[in-house]
Amino acid sequence: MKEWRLLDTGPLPASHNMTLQWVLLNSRHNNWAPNTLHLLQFKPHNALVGYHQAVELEIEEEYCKQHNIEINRRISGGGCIYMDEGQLGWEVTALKDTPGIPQNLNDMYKLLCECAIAGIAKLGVTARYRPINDIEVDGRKISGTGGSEYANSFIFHGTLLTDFSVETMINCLKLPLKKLDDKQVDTFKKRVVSLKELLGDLPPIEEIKEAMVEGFSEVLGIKLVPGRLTEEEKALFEKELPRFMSEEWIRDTRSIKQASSLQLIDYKAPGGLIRVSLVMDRARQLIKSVFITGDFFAYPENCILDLEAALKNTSVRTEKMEENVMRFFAKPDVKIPGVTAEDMIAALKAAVNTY
Amino acid sequence: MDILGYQFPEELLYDKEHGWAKEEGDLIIAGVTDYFQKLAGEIIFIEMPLVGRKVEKGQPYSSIESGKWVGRLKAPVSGEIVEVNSELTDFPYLLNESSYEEGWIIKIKPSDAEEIKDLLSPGDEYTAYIEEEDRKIKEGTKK
Repeated sequence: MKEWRLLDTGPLPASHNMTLQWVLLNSRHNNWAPNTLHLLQFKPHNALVGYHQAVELEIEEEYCKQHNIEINRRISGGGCIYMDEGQLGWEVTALKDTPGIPQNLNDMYKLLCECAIAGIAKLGVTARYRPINDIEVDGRKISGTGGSEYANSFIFHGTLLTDFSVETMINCLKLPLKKLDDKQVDTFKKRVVSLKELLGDLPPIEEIKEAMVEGFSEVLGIKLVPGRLTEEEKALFEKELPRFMSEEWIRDTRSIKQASSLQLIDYKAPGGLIRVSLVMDRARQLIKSVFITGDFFAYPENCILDLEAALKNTSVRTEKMEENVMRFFAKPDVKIPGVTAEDMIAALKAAVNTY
Repeated sequence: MDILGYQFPEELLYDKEHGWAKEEGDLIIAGVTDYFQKLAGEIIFIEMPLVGRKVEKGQPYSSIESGKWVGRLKAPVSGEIVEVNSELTDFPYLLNESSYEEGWIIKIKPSDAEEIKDLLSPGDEYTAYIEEEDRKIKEGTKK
């Protein structure tokens, strides 16, 4: 059985964890260490933007300042996230040609998410993979993921919401919620779920870590051996830390970032009102995120979340949006009385056209 | 030329980082192959490098994002970037829809003409390379 290193670095500031991600990615490429599963925690809490995002467009900086929420930028893609001290991060750094790990990104996402799902199952929670790279429990997100690469190595990471303050997340990130009423904000809150909410009592963090270790070991067929950072890694960490603490890194001013703005529209369909809250990247005409509520009834209850996920990051210039909606409505189990695919497309287009 | 269902125009040159190159006067136009774009999936962002930047053969000069993944684009030859396709900033999907034409990325003034000779024309060696890449992917997927 192949041995991998298990690295558990405990609670660290965002800048340290961001540096470590870069160090581990480089270290694997340089063969300083074997493939690694890194378990990480954050202290203090922080807000992280994706590699290609701009802090000023994604984060409520004033709120963060008042509440001592650190801000940093990940080396991986995806959207901004709020990391509090109650979350457990997991990340794999491995060679791209590691036997058993698909090089096709979608297959790799699925496999590595399956590892986390197996770990979560050990805690008595049945989670499932939602393409492209989320993990959910009954339609509610419990782990988001992302990745990056460097030469012949890659990093793929995710977080597990163990305990989580949705309130703080809503306050510190610029989410498409600002124009919504309390009832709709409550619907939004139901889109994420934590282990604590599912289990009532949260198991000790050591037990959660152990479950994740077992999940990764079993699914990947590896033996995880507890280890430490190597001397080379420590040296690179010391060298790189100032960069990941710098404003230059966090705000990366070298390139034009994804600018976006929020639109909210109401559309009347026979089955009820469809309210579309849309954040669109205006320059690229790309749906960054969409939140669909209203007074229609959808079965299964959380199926709209799948539609939202399918629409994320799709271009409105191409046929993608229509295709995604049609595909969603074509699913045999999806039933929304009085709302057709055409209604949904019209509602989305109305929101898009306000830009 | 069709290799395993991926298209590789005969008139272009290729490196082993899934990039293509085309000579235009004393410049090299560079982009990504059909194979690269299909594997990456829908590309939603490209970070355009600055004109004047020096690049090194096989080293990253830019990053793209698809499905929360940040991928790197590598230079087919060393030299200086003299032009970038700024259309891509607003229309990153051209990398998917027209990777060999409208989706060209940069023009490089090569610093070492010898490096151009290392690039491959579509043929047996390149076909073998793509087949090997594809085999590795399928092997990983089987597990």
